[in-house]
Amino acid sequence: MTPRVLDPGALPLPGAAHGEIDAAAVRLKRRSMAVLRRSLHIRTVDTGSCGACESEIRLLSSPYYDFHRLGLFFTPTPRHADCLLVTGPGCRAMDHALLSAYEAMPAPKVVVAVGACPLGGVFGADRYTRGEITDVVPVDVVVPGCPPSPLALIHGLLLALDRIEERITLQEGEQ
Amino acid sequence: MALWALRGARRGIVTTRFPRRPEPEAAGWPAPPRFRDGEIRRDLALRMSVACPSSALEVVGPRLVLDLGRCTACGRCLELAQGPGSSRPEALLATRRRANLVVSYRLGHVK
Amino acid sequence: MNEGESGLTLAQLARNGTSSQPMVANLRVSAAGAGDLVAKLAPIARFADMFVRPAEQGLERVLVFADDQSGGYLRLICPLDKSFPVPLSRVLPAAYQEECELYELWGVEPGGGKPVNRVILPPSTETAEPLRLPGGDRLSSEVRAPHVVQGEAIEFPWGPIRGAGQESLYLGLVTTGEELLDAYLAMFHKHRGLEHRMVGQTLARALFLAERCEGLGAVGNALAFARAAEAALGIAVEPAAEVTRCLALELERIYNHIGSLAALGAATGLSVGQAEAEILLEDCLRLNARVFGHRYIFNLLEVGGVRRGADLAALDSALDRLEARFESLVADLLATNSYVDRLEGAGTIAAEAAHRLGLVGPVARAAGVATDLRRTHQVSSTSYVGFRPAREQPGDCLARMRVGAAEVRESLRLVRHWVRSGTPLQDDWAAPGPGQDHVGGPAEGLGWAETCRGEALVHLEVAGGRVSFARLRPAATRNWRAFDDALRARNVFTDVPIVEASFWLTVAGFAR
Repeated sequence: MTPRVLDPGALPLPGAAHGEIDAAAVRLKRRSMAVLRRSLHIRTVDTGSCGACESEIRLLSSPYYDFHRLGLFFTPTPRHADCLLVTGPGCRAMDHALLSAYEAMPAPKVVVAVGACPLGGVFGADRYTRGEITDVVPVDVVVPGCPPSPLALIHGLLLALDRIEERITLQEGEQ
Repeated sequence: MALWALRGARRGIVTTRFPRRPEPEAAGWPAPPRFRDGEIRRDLALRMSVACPSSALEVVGPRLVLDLGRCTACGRCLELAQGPGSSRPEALLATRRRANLVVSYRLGHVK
Repeated sequence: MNEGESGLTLAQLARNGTSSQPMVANLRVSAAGAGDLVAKLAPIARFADMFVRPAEQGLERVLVFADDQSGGYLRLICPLDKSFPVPLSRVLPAAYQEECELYELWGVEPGGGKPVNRVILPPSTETAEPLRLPGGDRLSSEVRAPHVVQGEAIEFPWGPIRGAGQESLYLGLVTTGEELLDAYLAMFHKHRGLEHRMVGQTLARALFLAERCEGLGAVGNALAFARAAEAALGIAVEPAAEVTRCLALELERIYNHIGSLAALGAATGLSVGQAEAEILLEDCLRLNARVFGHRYIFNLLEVGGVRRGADLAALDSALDRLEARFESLVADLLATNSYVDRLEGAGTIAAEAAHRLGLVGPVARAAGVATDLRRTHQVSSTSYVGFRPAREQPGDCLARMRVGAAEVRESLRLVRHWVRSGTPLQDDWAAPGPGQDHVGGPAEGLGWAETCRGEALVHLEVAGGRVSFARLRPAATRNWRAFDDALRARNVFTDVPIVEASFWLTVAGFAR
């Protein structure tokens, strides 16, 4: 198995899906996301998840989490969406739908990948699944977990808006 | 509908304070592991990587590599590692860089 | 005892067979003989599954029938012929889906020139070959039972990407405007090939996959899988571990019924009702985490037992409050006429349809068909003393809601009994159970569990500690069959989310 750690930029920077790694483009992207700092309209796409991630996503609008208070909303149409929240291991049968949803969104837009599945954690690549979704859409933020709790999802969505810091802590000796 | 208005009012606010304050309930929720550097021998590390059902652990050269992105916090590696392993304190792992989720440890030597 | 026209009973048939495990009888017959037997079995047994597997002499077709009267399964095994002389589903309507699967996976036509639908494979050229038998006759790339939408009607396409946090599913809703005339489901977008992936894996890894077949049914499907492996390998589960599993299964049932109430609230626009149910749902998930360490009770089961114990103190202290709040919510919902009106008469599945289509679980019980494996197919020593399956009429959304409420009550009673009666429960971390490193000759087993959606079956064949063949049949594979019928029954567009919420199935469980 190819060691993933030797591929430091494995998650493409925004826009890198098409082979451009342009620092200026990245800066521009983040500046334009700053325009959205106050609110995010989210479209969810399931590329083959087991359903647990969907359940946690649905709870974002429930009273215990109430993500509306943070300016986060669901939208049923890609035309109004700023954010694509993607679950699942990238079933190939969903390629067309996923790409269409992404392309129908006006810029600026972010893609947030949810769970271990879109990071190749549960299902590897084969004729049914891609294992990852980065071949279809560029991913801006990943939220690991199986499933990630609504708290982790809120953290990831605010991270996409540049309104919160990353919280991965390394202890002594970890690299 | 008065029934429902009253019900809602009686319920009050249950919303979490997160992200302003940590959510105490989440303290016991599953999180990926962390290991003590240099304390896991190669043979144990190999067994742990085989036991991992989501390909999150791998022995690469003299290091044990843990991919927090692929980890499902199932605990099978911790069962094998015992002492040198524990759960991370929290599971807020969102990141912009995939590589930030890959951590590694020196393997220990046979004494 | 059920008798068919010939006076034949299931028990008599079973006696003629061999048995690889208690409660399962296998009858080996010729392909022609199978056709006859199926016709005899149809009125006296419930069709549960059909699949093809590799065998020594080529491929075999296996049909599984359930005996809901006295408990047990009867399996017909015959060599795979290209087709039955007539479509199987003419005699056994419940088997239509399995016939379509057989065509997609093995290139076996149903016989009689009957058209098939795409059920698990997308109609793209990449997958045009029978999947398990490459090199076979090429499948028609657009395999769909012809349906013609004419006149004033249009087919309104919805999906596969749908609302917020909804699974991918394509629904073609045929309508003249408001009234729903017909509905076509395409559920292949989420096919991950789980059964295929399990081949060659260790039992532990295959169980990990079985848990993630259907996240909201993780315990139920993993339990059926574990039982299949335990039957194959002759592993006996400690009583304390078995009760712990049953406890987890009931907690899963409780949170799923509450999840259905939340979805019903959303679908009917009863915002506070939805919010109240969501609060209870979150309470249940938090309780699951306190008791078993995971909100959806993943990572609990293993072949041979459980990987950890339950935090009984946390469970005991939460039961009364949970019950009181649940009853209060249900009472208020049933007292809200506008809500009850939306559910009454919507998405009706009659008892006749439930029998004909082999439905299971709460959907069947709401139609008056009280099959429940906890009553008839008990495998463990766990006590289900006083257990009675819920049962309602006439199979509409309201009946399903009442069944859900009754089942939550019964589950809470069972949990309370196990926790408070001093029933031994596993209460600390267990060492890895037997069977993890089991090496041995080929063996097979059938496992089952009454999951929150109904009967889940797993057929497993193992050799040398690894899976050599797996067949997963979660309850969703049975009950989605009735969804389009339920939508057609005099419903309007806005009933669709209500019926979907009341069925509370998963696409993942069907697509696997």
